[in-house]
Amino acid sequence: MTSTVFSASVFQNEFLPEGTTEVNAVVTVTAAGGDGGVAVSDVEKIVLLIVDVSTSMEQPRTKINAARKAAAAACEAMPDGVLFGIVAGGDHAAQAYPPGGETSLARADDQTRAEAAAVARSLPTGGGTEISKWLDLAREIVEPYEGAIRLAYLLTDGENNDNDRNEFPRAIARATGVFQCDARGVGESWRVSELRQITSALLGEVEVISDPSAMEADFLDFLDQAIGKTVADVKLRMWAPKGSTVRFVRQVAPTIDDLTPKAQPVDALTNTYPTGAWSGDESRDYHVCVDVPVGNVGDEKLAARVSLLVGADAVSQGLVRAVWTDDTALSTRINAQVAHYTGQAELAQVIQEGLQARKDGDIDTATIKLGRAVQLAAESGNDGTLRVLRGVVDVEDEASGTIRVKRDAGKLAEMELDTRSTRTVQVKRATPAPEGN
Amino acid sequence: MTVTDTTIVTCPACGATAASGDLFCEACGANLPDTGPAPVAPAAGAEEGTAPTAPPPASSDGPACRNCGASADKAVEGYCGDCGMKMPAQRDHMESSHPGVGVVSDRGIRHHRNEDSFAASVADGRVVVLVCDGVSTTVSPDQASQAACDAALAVIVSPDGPADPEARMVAAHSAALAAVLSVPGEPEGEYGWPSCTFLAGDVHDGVADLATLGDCRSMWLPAEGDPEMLTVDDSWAEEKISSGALTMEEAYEHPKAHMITRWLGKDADPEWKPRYRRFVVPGPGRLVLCSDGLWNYALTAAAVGAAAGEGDALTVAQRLTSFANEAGGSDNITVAVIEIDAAPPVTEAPSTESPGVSPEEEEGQQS
Repeated sequence: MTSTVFSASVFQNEFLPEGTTEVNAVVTVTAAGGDGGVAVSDVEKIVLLIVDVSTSMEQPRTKINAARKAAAAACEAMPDGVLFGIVAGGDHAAQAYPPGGETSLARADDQTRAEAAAVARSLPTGGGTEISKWLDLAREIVEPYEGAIRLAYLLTDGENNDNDRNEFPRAIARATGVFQCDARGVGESWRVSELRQITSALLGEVEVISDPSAMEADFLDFLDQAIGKTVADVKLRMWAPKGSTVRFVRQVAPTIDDLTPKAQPVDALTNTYPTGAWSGDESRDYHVCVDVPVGNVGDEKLAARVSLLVGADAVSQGLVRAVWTDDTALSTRINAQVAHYTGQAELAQVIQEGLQARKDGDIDTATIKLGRAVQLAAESGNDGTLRVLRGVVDVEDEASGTIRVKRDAGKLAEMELDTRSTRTVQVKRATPAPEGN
Repeated sequence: MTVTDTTIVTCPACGATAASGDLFCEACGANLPDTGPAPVAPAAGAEEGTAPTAPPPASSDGPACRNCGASADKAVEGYCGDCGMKMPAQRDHMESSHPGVGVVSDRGIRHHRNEDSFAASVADGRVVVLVCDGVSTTVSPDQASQAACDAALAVIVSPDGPADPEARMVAAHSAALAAVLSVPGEPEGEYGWPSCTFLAGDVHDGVADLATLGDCRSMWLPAEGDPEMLTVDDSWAEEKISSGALTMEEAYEHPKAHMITRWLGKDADPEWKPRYRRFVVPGPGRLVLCSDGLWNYALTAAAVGAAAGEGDALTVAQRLTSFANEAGGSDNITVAVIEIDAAPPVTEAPSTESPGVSPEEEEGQQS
C-alpha cells in the first residue's frame, strides 16, 4: 500500500530568562513515503484550469495564443484518472470543458485529453475581468467532490473590474476550504495584491509570467506539483495552555504565510489552521510564538503542542516547552532556526514596505528598507530573492545593505520582487561540542 | 535546544490516535501502553546487573498539578492539560536505602529536571555505587547518565569481568561509554551529543576502588580525624588549581570553573580513560560519592564533613541534599553515603566479615 508518514521536529531554545513569557519555536513537519502511514492510493484528484479570456488577452495576441497553447499542453499531459476541466473567464465564467452546460469534470484518458486540448486551442475571447464569477463557477464544479484533492490554476493578465470590488472578496471566502488555487499574472497590467488575496486564502502561490512564451512550462510545472499531492485536507492543530496568548502561527518555509488569522477554534485551548494538500515528499516549517503565564526559575511548562491532522487523525506531533532559568548562558542562546526565520519574515516585510515607499515616491525610506532586504537576503543565502532585488536596486555592498534604488526599474521587476518576497530558504545546521554540566 | 520526534500509537480503549510517549489518551483518558521515547523514568527495583526495566505503568490517580491543581488524568505527555506545567516526575527526587548505604538524587531548585543518575548494588559485603551527571548542554543528558550508571554497574558486579580491579573499572567505563553512545538523539543547535560524567565506587574487603572521569567527587569522612578528598576532577578549575595558575577560591569564582574537560559521549576523545585509585579504608567512617550539585556549596572534604552531621547513611545523604538545596540548589544533587564500621583488615584477602551491610540485600537503584 502506498502511504505517507508524517514526522515533526521542534527547534527552540526552551530556556527563558526569569520573568519573561514569550516562547518561540520552529516546528518542521516532514512527509515521506513509507509503511503504516496515511493511505494515499484512493484519493481523488481534481485539476481545474481557469483561463482569462477577456479582450485584454488579445493585446497583444501573443498572450491569448500562449495561454491557449499552454492550456492545451496541460490537458495533453493530464495523467490518467485525474478529474479535470477548463473554466473560461471574462465578465462571466463559462465551463469550456467538459462541454454541455452542466457543471462537471472529465476523467483523463486519451479521448478526453484530445477533446480538451482541442477546446483549449480555440478558446474564444471577449469581455472584461470579473474574477468573482470565475471563482464561483470553479467552486460549483468541484464542490461535490468532498475529500478529494481539489486544485485550480488561475491565469490572468489584467486587473479585476471595479464593479467586482465587493463580490471579489466574498467569492474568495466562499471558495475557502473548497479548493486550493494558484494564480499567475502575465504581463504587467495585473495587480499582485489582488491575486495574492486569492492565493493567500486558497493556499496557493502567486507568480509572474513575464514572457508569454514561458506560460507552457509554468503550466506543466504546476501540473507536475499538483499530481504529486497525495494527502488532502491537512491541518495544523495547536494546543496552548490556559492563560496563554498565541502571538502568531506562521508558515515560514517554503514560503511565508501567516496562519494566525485562519485559526479555527476546537476548544478553549486548541485551534486548527488549514495547510491544504501535501505531497508524499515535502517539508514545511512553522514558526509559532506563544505568550505563556510566567513561571518560577526551575519550572518547566508545555507552551504548545503542535500536531498535524489528516482528516480527524493526528499523524505527528511536536512539543514546544518553556523552562525558566537564571542561567543567562542558557537563556541568551539564540536558536538558529528561530533566528533564521525571524530574519526571513523581516525580509518579506521590508520588501513590501520598500516597494510601497517606492510607489509613494519616498525614495529615502525605500532605500533604507530595500537596503535592509539586500542585507538579510545575502546573510541568509536567499539568492533567489537577492536576484530579484537587483532588478529594483543597484547594490554597492551586500553585507552592509548599501544600495541605490533604480529610478528606471520596470514595473515587471517590481512585480517579480513583490511575488518573490515571501519565498524563504531553509537554515543550515551546525553541531557543537558539550561545554559544562 | 531540544528536538522532539514523536510517532503515533492507537489507544487500546477507544481507538483514537495518540503520540507514542503519551501517558494518557487525549480522547478518553485511558492509560496508553508504554511505547517510549517517553519522558525518562528511572528503573524501579531493577535487578542487580540488569538493564533498567520499563517505568512503572502510569496511573491516572497520580498527584494533581502542583501549579493549578488540575487532576492528573488531564495530563498529556507528562504536562498539565490545563496550565501546561510539567507534572511531578519520578526522576525529580530518587532515594535508595540499604543498611549502611543511602543514596539521594534530587532535581535541586534551579534546574527543570534531574539529569543526574545513580545505580547501586549491595550484596555479600560488597557495595558498588555509580554516580553520573548528565551534561546539560547536550541532548537527553538524563538518559545518558542513567544508561552509563546501569551499564557500568553490570560490568563491575559481573563474575565474568576482569579480576584486576583497575581493568574492571576500565571495562566498566567502556561499557558506560557504549551505553551513552546508544542513547538516541543527535546534536541540535548548541546542544551536543548525549553526554555525562562518570564516577564508580566499589567498596569491598576494606578497600574502595574508585574510578572517575569528569567532575563527580568522592571523599572520605573518617569517624575521627580530617576528611579527605579522594578523587580529582577533570575540570577547568582543577587544571588551573593544579597548575598553580589560580588558587581554589580564584578558580571557583571564574565563570568557566565548572567547565568539564572530559566526559562520556560521541565527541569524547577515545583515549580518555577514568582515573583509577584504590583507597585502603583506614578505619570507621563514611565514604561520600557526589555530583557537583553538592560540592558547589562545599568545595572541600572538610566542608562536606561539616555539613554531613550524624545519623544513618540515608539520613546523612538526605541532610547533604537539603544542605545543597538550602544553599541555592543551583544544580542537580546526587549524594551516595556508604558507612564503614569495620576495622581495616590487615590484608586485602576476602573478609568474612560484613562491612555493615546485610548480605541478602541485593538491589539496583530505586526511586
